[in-house]
Amino acid sequence: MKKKKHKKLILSFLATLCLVTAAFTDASSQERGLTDLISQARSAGIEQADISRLQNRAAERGISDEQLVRILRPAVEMAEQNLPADIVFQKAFEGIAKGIPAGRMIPVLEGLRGHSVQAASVIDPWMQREEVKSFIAKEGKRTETGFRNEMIRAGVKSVSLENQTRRIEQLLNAIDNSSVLDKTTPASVLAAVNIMPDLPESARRGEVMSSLISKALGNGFNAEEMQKLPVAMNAAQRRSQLPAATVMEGVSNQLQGGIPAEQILQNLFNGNVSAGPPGNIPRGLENRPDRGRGNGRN
Amino acid sequence: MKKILVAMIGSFLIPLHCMKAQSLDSFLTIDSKAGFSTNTFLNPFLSEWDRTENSGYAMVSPIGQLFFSDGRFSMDVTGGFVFEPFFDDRDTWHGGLAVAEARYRVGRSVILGVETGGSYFSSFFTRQLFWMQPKLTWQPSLFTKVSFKAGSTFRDYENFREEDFDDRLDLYAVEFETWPALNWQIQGGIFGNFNTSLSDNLSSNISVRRVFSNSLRISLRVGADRFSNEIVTGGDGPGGPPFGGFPTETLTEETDVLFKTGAAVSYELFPAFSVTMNADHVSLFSTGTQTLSDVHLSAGVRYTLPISGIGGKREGAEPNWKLNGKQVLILKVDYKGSGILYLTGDFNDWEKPGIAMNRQKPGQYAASISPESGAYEYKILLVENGEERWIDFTADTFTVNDGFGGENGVIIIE
Repeated sequence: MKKKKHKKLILSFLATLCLVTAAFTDASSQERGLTDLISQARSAGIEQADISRLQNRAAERGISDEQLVRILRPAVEMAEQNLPADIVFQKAFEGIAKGIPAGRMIPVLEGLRGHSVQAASVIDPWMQREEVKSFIAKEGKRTETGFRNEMIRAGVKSVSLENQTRRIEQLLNAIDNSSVLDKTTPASVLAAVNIMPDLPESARRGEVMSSLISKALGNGFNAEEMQKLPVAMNAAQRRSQLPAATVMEGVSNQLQGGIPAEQILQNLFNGNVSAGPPGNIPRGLENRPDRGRGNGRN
Repeated sequence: MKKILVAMIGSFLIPLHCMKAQSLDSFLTIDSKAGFSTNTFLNPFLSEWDRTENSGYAMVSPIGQLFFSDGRFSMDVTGGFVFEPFFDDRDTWHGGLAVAEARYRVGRSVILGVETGGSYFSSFFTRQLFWMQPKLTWQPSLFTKVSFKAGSTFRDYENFREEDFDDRLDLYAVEFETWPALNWQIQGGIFGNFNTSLSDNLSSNISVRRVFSNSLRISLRVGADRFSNEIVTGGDGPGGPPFGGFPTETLTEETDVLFKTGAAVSYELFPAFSVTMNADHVSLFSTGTQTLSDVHLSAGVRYTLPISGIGGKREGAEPNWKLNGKQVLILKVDYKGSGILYLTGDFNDWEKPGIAMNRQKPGQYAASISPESGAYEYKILLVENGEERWIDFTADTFTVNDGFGGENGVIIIE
């Protein structure tokens, strides 16, 4: 009876020992995995300051080392592929600041890596064109690498919302000629890629969109004005009750007519899709106070 | 009639209030002017033929408009008041009007709608109107549209030349508008009365507007009206076309033709603030007796502003970035609420709480940053009683999907 009891005790001890060893081994391998990944990150050119910042914030939020490895890995892979890893770091910082659980953050960050590859596949060949190189050099505020990374970052948003790689390519092809590049700036081009997902659905059809945006850039829309375009077009559609395709036609016509960007935007916000300058009278009121309501009434 | 007018405004405002969550815009236009007219026919809001009193007038007219849309449906509701003292011994012409137009786009080029309205004005006489007319608009292209409308107008006059009367006019109109070029607009219309033949009662007008710049526009108008009507040949009436339907004692059939010309200039001094000038001339050629000419001149200012609270301003923060010098960007945010606002984003690696925003005046906060060229996403954090909350942006703010189910603002630095 006593022998049997000892046997049970030994078995329990061994089982506990196995569990503790397994847990320790797992933690140790996670720690080693993180250490290895950080080392890999440094080799790929990621700055230690970014890594430390991420580690500290992850620790404050109680994110495990295993989760941190999964958060950091897309950044390391991107850096190794010469893609801007900063996209992942910023999104991770943002996710932590907004209190997004690691489990929800990880797929978003992993998605960024894939989308960056797609965006770079169309932006990199465009960046190699001589006219684009001289366009960036002429402005003198950005390096080629810096602008390329910003373009990829902007392109990622389009690619991640819906697969717009082909559309980005069409847009870039439409604006790589001197008639557009001479009249615009890198910041406006950046804004143009940024607004793609926010244009009305019908405006996002490749040819239509690239034609509209290249006209806007050629018309001198600056980055701020470019950013207002989607909201203005939506406002115009709402105010005029015209189909989106017709609004596009009107905007395109105004661009073709050389109307200044500020005026076009104000027209759209007023629901004036056709043409003419903005008025300060709401639609439908213009003729009322001065002319009465027609024969036999006011 | 007053009650009908109030009920009309109420009945339109109640559903609009319920639809507040939908797309709703609202504006208030305040018109203020002074003018001189030799015939009240040319006077704004009066429009009755009366050459007996030549005098100046002043006018203040606040008019508001609500615009609601949801898919293919849209509706305007316009209403306001008019206060118009004369520079003679006549009582002030005052009153109000309300107009509503509902539209439904049935196809790319066809819109069906209905327009209804009413007005009540009073001074040395009282006039009440109510009208309703279905409307069909055909838009063959973006730059041309033709509208057909027909309906009834009910009129009720009190103390008009010391008599009371009411009647009904069954009217129709064909109106068109086209933009032959970006800065040219042509509008015109033919207006008739079902109760008389086309040759007996026809009004037409055409206006050509040239837009010279963003702030200056000039309109020229010409028009002609033809009436074969009963006019006063006895009693103490002044004669002239019966725009107001004169009560008469002795009537004679005559044909009157009116030629109307006019010009209007509008110049925007500041955003939403314009100076306006208007000149009109009308000549009456009457087969019976005489040729008469009248003029009207006016000048004034017009102020238009969106109304907060009823869709004019959206809920949430409305950021406004301004470049101060070459480096520093100042973000101003309109936000009504308590707590402390912070600016957080890519430029500070989303480190909470972020850059504290200073309260400049009630409802307005500002912060400045000096980032390098590039695109930056950001958000505004509200900290109140130790609790944090991300503030949403208004619908008019350019935002991007943050990937986590929210929206970030974006600023692109040249």
